[in-house]
Amino acid sequence: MTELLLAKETLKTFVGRNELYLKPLGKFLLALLALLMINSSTGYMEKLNSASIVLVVALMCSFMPANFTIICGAVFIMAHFYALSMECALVALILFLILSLVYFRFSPRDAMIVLILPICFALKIPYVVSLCAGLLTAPVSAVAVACGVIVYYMVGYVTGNVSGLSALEAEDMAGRFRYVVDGFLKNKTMAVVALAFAMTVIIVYLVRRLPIDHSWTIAIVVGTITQMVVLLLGALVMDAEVSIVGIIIGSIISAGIARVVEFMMFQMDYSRTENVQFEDDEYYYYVKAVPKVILTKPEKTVKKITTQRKKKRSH
Amino acid sequence: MIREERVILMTKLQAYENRGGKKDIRIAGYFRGDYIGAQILKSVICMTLAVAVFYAGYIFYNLEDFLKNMYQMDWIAYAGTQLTRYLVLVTGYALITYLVYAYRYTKAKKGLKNYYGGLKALNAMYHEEA
Repeated sequence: MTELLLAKETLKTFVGRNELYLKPLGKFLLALLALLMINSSTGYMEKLNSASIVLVVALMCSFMPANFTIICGAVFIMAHFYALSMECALVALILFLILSLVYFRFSPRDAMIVLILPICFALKIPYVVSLCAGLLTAPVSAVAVACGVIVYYMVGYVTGNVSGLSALEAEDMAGRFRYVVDGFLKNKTMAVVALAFAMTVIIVYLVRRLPIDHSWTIAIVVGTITQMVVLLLGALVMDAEVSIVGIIIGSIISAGIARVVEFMMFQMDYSRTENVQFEDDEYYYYVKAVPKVILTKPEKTVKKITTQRKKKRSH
Repeated sequence: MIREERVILMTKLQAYENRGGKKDIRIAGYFRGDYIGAQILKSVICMTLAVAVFYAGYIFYNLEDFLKNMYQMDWIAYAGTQLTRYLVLVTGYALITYLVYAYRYTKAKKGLKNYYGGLKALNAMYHEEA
């Protein structure tokens, strides 16, 4: 444990010292990953698939507020859908507009969950998002998690039904629109996953706020079990398509990642590093305030090794 | 001379200002009723736009039926039903907005109270030194 705490200390110092560069770098990598994933899963508009465009947009995202990345992601999705069919772009536009007008007006920060969730879906560990949202945010984030699931399944439905869509007549715009809406709204798997994830966020939040020891760890365990049970039960009751092995393995890996997040955020809050500057009549102050991490020194136990007296045995 | 106590207090105050204090100052600049009222108005506008977008999509989805029944439909009854639904939705959303922003206003006021208390203490330190 001491080694881990020391490693944490080193990491905290490193992050605190290089926060100015690490923050834009993190934003750049997140934007790059999100745009590359959007391009690889959709990729109907050739121009947007070019590496230079992706790099330029990701670079722009690194210097802009976090929500700019989400807008870029939404624009990329709609542009790719437009290249496929206008009706798909219309469905995506309606969905994004309703989400931003109704929900993200209240908590724009939660919009990041909608971006991260599809990335985690692609990495086969979407369960980590609901666990971490419960650990780090308010229970209202359950709505954002459910929105992320809806966006993921909408994109998944369109990309998985390109042949069905192209079989419909191009003139029948309303028919094509209905085909897309029906397809993704009547998706039972989406309903089960959205429900399971939203419930997990609320349960994890409630458990971690309990005044008990190791509440964060217990919250992770309870959340993981709840998530697995709801997904499996939902799949049985609603006849939804889910991979049982995938759920179990993904949930276990996600719980492990959530444990790491707990270790980093709960015990070492390096994200609270403050850089402030102010002045009074005599001085300018440039202060960097870093929260303390208490390292308990390992107790040294002195073990005495003495040569045992050999008993002389008389035969 | 740098006084450690003063630097700590100033750092805390500045950190609060950077973290969300500026937003709190902006919020507390309004009267409670004005602030919540403005947010409710914004919410009503947003919800109206969202309903309009949804309804446009709904009509496009049911375009065939809509065109077919256009001349047999009782437009006044239909408009009445839609308007009632809209009003229920907007009222519910406005209520949620009221609760959320009333909480945020109270929180901002509380944060600022502590902040001004800190400023007062800082002022007293300066007077003490002089």
